Amino acid sequence: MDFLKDGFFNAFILLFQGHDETYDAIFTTLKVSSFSIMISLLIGLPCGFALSYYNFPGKKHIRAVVDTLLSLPTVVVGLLVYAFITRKGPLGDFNLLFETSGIIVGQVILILPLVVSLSATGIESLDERLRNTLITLGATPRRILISTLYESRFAVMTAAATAYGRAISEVGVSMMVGGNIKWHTRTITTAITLETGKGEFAMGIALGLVLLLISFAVNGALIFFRKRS
Amino acid sequence: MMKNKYLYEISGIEHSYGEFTLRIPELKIERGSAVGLSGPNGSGKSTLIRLMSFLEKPASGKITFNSIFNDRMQATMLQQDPYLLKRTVYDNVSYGLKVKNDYKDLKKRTADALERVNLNHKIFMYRKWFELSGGEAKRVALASRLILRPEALLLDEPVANVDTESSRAIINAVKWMREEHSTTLIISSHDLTWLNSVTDNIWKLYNGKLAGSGNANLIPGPWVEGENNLWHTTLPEGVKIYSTQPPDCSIPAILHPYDIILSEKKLTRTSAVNHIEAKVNLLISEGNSGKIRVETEASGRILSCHITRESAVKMNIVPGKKVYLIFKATSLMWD
Repeated sequence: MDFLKDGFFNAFILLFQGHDETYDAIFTTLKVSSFSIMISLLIGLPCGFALSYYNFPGKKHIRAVVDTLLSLPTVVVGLLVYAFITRKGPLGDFNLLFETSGIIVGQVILILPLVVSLSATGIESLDERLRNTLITLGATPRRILISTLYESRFAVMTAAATAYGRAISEVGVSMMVGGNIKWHTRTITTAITLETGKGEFAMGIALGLVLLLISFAVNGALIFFRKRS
Repeated sequence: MMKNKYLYEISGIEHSYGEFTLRIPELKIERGSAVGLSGPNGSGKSTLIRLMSFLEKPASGKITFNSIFNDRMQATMLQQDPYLLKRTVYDNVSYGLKVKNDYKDLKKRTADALERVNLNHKIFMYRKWFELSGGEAKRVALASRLILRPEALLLDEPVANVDTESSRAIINAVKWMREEHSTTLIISSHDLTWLNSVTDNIWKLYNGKLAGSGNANLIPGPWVEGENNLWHTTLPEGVKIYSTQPPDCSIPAILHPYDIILSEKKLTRTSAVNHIEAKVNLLISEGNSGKIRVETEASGRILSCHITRESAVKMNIVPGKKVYLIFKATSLMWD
């Protein structure tokens, strides 16, 4: 068990001394996952609203597909995105392979169903009198969307936190699409995989601790906003 | 441009929910009037209010507001069980103005609207939605409509399940809206006494149809054939009302208040078959006409009749007094 003790000890040294390679993986992860979550929220929240608020043909089928995509394996997303953005693929000209933008595309595909499904569930659980209230107070359709999302803010925040958690913790997309290139596309999870494979536990543990800290921070923020609201 | 005399014009609307269908062939509501809608549960009051608020479109027929088909912004509705946004009282009341990008004196206007429903703005302005009682929440919801100064204010059972203080505050606020801003009021309520005190005219709804207006008493069926070509229906507490043959056993009968004779004693040897024991609930003076409308409770149903002021004095008609309502079977009319 000494290797674990040493690993923790060296992990703290790496973090406190500002080890460049470790911090680069942390910043890459934060950058990629932050873009992914922002894009997913921008697309996913209106989709979740439409899916729960309006009745249209095929609604149930779309909902079933979205719910199924919740358990999409990250390596499958990685494989599909890879196939599309590889030089020979239909989106090869965009030069997304082994770039952080490629990882963002993959992560958006991965977490978008989560945002859509969880926000739709949150909006569905709202009181049906809300719609009538907003209409009778003169709200326009755009205002109804914004106000409904605001009324379901706890559900929306939970959806965002869950999706963010999935984005920062996934390995498959980052590894396959990003290529785990040092100083470029290496993220916390791909670095942990690599370093553990090499028997370098210190950096793996350090990055693992940071990952846990990010999760605590996201959940802490969620609890804080709930209490404030 | 001269405004149409009628704010609402309804023609040939039909709207269904399951087996229930609301059918209103024609209904016109004058600008600035106060109209009551009464009727039993499931008679279509709330459906009509929803249609008139443009929350739903009728399946057929048309509703025009100011001669156009939809003017949601000028007609606002307070639901029976209003919903407050999960925000402060200030945010709830000012929401409608913010939607219209009308930010002028927002705080002052919000405070005024709260005071109008008898809520102290210094205490309530920044309370959260969950810090209000049922009556306070209803008054906040009403304040959020009053602040919009709508041309039509539609209220669905506004005083149902609220305390006396809230009920009084709601009446005063609604009356003020009409007096100060000529707002047309359309109010549905089971409480005929309350409705009479606020409205000019009451439309009675029964089973999705308009079944009379004014202070006419509505006697619901079913009508059962009895002896001597008479039919009868039974009031909630068991008293029977006799009529002539109805066109349909299920339709309500209309009994005009001026067809009822009020008597202190049960009369014998008259041609009237209906002698109903009742208790006086309320006396309402009808303007300068010298007429008094007496609202009574007879076997669990409210029935109104008219007497002169002199008769009321002579007979010492006061609330709580036992009287008899006498009317002929032929006085019951069918729509």
